[in-house]
Amino acid sequence: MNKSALTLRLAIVVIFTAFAVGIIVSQLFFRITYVDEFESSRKNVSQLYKTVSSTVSIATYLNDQELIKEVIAGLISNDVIQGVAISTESIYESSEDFYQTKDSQAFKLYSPFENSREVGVLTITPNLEYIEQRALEISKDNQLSIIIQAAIITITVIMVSFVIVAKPITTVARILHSVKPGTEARVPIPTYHQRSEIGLLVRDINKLLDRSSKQIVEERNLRQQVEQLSRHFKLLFENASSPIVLTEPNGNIVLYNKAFIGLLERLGLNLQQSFGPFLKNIFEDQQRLITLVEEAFGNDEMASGEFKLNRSSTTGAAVWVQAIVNLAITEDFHEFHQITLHDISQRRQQVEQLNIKANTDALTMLFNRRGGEAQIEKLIYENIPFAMLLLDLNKFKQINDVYGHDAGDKVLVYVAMQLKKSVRKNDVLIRWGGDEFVVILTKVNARQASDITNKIISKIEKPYFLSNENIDVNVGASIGISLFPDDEKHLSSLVQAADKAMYAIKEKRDPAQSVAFYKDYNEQTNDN
Amino acid sequence: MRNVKGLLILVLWLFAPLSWGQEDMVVVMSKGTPIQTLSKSEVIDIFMGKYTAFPNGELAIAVELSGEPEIRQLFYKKLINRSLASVNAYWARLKFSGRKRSVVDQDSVGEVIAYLEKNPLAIGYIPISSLNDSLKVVYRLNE
Repeated sequence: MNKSALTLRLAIVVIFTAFAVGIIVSQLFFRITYVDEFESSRKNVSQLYKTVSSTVSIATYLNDQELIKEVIAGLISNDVIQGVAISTESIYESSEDFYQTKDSQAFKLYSPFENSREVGVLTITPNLEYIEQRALEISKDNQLSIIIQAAIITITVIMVSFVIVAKPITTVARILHSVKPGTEARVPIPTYHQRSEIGLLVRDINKLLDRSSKQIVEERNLRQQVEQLSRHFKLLFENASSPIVLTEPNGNIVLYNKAFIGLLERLGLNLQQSFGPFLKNIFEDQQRLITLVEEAFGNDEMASGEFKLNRSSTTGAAVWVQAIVNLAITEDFHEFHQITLHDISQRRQQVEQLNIKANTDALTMLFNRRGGEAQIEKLIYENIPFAMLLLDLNKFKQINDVYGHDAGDKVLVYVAMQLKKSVRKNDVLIRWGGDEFVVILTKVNARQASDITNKIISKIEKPYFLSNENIDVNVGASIGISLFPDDEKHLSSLVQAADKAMYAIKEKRDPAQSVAFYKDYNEQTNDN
Repeated sequence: MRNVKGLLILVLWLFAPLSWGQEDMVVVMSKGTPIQTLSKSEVIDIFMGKYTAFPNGELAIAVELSGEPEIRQLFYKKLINRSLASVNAYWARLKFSGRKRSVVDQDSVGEVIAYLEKNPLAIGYIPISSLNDSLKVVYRLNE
């Protein structure tokens, strides 16, 4: 049985209280009874004395022994009296076993005829044993009735409290214990407790249950909404065509989508825990990325820029992305970086092809003038020394006029091919316009430049067979050379210098002399 | 004249008890008795049966005036303030315990006086008016 059960506790308390109170009350009752009995015995003794007073007065007055004995015998027959003694001026008479105690009562006896004449003393000792016995008997009866009363009250209290209080509470507690929050189950109000505190308690409990179940339903709905929303977000995120990655500031990847895995596969990489902050390890120009992001974050903006990745795709094509790095701060002040990569490789490729097209001469596939100039500017910018050869074809106009433009074009293609054969890989070949070519020989001295120029001329001067006309033609070339940075430091002046040298040699119309250095021409001019 | 009138009133006042039957009583013995006077207690003791002897040891004979209940009544009233019936009851009670009353009953005051004159140890009571020379007052009962 449950030791803390209400009913048991109540029963124990009531029983103990009844027991304790019973003991105390019966003890008290005994004391009171004893005192009462003792007092009433004193009264009895006094009354007995009054009853015999006239006789005993006469007896003592007359010193009549017989009469005195008679009185003593009469008194001693009372239970409340232990012993009696009568003394007169001449006689002392007492009952058997008479003794005097502090409870003994002494009555002075007077002459029946003279109130002031003392004739003897009557001493009565009460029977304490008897009194006590009687007190005990009376209190025993009282005790019994108290015990019976206490027992009846105890049983009644226990039963009533069990039926009225403990049982309904136990029932309510049991039912409440089995009620699942959020269900429709409620605790019924116990019978006859509609208006009691238990009824009130149950009503309040039910109100609480109502409120909590309402709350649970609301929470459930909310949770469903959140779940649905998160599913949608997940779908959106998972199926996004662009790779999206969420990282911690230290670069640890928290979240990524399928597209990111796809990108890694394209690059031939495996997923790692971290690719460094902002995924910098997969970028080619990491410093530019970091600077861009830090600047943007410093201005509270998102960073956006186009970057080439440091690995080509498995098909060999360069991979370009537009990277958008966003700083996301959660409600609990956690920082995350959201990195979105849009693949722009194809656009980049198209731009590059357009670029190449714009800078290339369609006929000879050499740089056109625009492309060539850019190349030269670049060399100047980078301060790389080079020799500029300005080459003008001789006798090309006649071929063009006689055999037509197609033949002229073929000659030009042929020349371009010869140029390619003559120069190194790093040298730049440009169709400057019409029958003019520019050759840039990088990192050469005048002598080397001269050697290469001679080689070029000898190759160009070889006869070319025009298959359509079934005839050999040959063209010559006049070449003016200017040197960077020795002669000039700017593109236009370099070109002018080479042009001057080239026209100078052309005007000589000497087949043996077809090459001129600007510095030589300059000296000659100065000499003149 | 005024003095005579005052004297008359005084005499009348002095004799008033006589005329109402409230005469003083005296306890008397023969003139020849050796007893001089007795206290009230001694008189009571003798008449109520406590002692049958005088303080000097001589046996006393109490004389009861049985034939004159009024005088007797008056005597006991004055001596112990009790009615005659009460006195009778007293003796009746003692009778049951075996005590015997030793008194001499006389019918009249004259007989009492005569008995007393003959018995020097006899003691009796008479109204003071009946007192004569042959008797000695041993105790005077007055209020």
